[in-house]
Amino acid sequence: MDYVLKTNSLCKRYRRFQALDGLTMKVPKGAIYGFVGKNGAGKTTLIRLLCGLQYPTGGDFELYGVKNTEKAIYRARRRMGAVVETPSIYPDMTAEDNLKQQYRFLGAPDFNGIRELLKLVGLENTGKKTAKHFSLGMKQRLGIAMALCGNPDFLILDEPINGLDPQGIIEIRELILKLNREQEITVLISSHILDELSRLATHYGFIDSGRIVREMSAGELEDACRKCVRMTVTDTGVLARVLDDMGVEYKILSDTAADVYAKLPFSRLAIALSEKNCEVISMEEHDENLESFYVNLVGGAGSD
Amino acid sequence: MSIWWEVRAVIKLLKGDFARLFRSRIFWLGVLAMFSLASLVVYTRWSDSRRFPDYYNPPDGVLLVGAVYIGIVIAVFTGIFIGADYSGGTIRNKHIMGHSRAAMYLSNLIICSAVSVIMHLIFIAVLVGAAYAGMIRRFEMPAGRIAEMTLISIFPVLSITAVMLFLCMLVTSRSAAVVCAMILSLGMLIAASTIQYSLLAKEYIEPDYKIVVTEDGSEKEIFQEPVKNPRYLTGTKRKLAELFHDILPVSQIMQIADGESEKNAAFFLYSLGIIAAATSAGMLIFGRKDLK
Repeated sequence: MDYVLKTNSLCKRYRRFQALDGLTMKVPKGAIYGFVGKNGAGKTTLIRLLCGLQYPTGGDFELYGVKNTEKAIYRARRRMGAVVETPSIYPDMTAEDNLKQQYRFLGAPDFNGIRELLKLVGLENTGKKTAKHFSLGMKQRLGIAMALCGNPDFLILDEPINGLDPQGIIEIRELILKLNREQEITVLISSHILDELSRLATHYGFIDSGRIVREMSAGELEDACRKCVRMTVTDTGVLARVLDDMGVEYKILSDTAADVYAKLPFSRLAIALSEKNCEVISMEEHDENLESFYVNLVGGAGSD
Repeated sequence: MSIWWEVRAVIKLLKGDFARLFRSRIFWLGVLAMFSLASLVVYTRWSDSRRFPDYYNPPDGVLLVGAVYIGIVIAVFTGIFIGADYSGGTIRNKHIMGHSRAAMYLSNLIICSAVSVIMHLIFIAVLVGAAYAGMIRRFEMPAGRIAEMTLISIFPVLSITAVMLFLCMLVTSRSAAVVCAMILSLGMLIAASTIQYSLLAKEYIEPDYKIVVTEDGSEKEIFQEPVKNPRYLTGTKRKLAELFHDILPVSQIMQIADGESEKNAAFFLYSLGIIAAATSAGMLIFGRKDLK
């Protein structure tokens, strides 16, 4: 498999705070890589290192096979675009002028393609309105358009839907999917909004305390997020013994609740429990999603 | 990465930054400030010539007044123009598109230097124009000397710019950068004035004399012994003050304005030294700085 980005035991320390602690991850070509983690887990720090805004204190990374320690990394960065934290735009300029400015910095011989870019991000009708009067969603889309100026094949988006209204979220989602499907742009996207991320990502990297705790494809996540039956009983100790006798996989959640990972003859199970003075209070089909998977993986406390 | 790659990067950055410069409000405000300062000088000269028509006072001594105060304008411009790249986050775009920090620093140096020279020339152009148009008295010095003074004074102006840029590239908060640069420019102005005042102090205080009426009713002048001036610097202190007087860019401008042409080569070398030191240190620190 071709990888756009590989990091190898990447470390970043700010005085006493270890932001990245041996982070190793791989972003496959053509993927939409969902980068999931709590606040302060190290997501933005990694993005800053990739963009050259900061330097690692340990480890290294490869962008298109070029190590960050090589001088060719500057050329490799030309193949990527990024929106880090807030969109980097000139507030006193119109959307078109912002893109022209970006074209000049890139050394483009002309401004061909600006109209298409504005159309792509849905800002073709903003006219003389300056960016400071744009809504957050419009600014975000302009930021993405700026990042797309150099025709990158790797796009890094740091929390692109933070603070957006539902319409803005849909617009950004559709834009990212369009870029990935139609222009085959690999996207690394960090987000707290896991439900939204699950609609986009083809691959996931879960980061906690500066380390990747799990890296998987969307297919693998789907397999991991198995369907189960959440049972509420009077005594999960009794339930555990009965399920053990039946050879069924389960997970005890509390004194009264458990997840059962199998299709069971529930009448037989209810009879067996009843014989041991354990009553079934409720049973419901439960689907583990990205959020619950994430909470189970890194722990719920403090998670966003 | 070759030098050619860096040069091309600087040219690309300059294209973008010059386009931004000519539409930036702070640049035009700076132009207006220098034009207003020059107009004020022209007006006071014109007003003096009307009040004292017999007193011939050529404007030679005020040719570089703008250069003396230009540090304040450069401080505000650099703080806001460079700070906008930090506050808007657009400096990130330059990184992401693969420009090196050295190229970014050099491009900013060229932009700010160009602006400083433009501001400097605006002041001189208004003054010279007013003199040749007959609004104020004509210059006593020949046109060649005006051109020489203008050219020589550009170097200290550029060294002030390099120092301001050093500060503004390292202070990432726009408002903090403007405040620090303003304090620095005022500090340079005060230091230059203080040093010049100390060096101009006479070694002895002029002997005072008294007229006393003697017993026979006649008046008699009594001269006192000359008194050593405590403000007069001697020895190492004087040498140091003279050195700083030659090194400090504002002091250099004051001396050029006074017609000290024999020090031109030294001023050029000191200015070059300041530009080289500030730029190397700035590039080194900016090159290692963590940006957000």
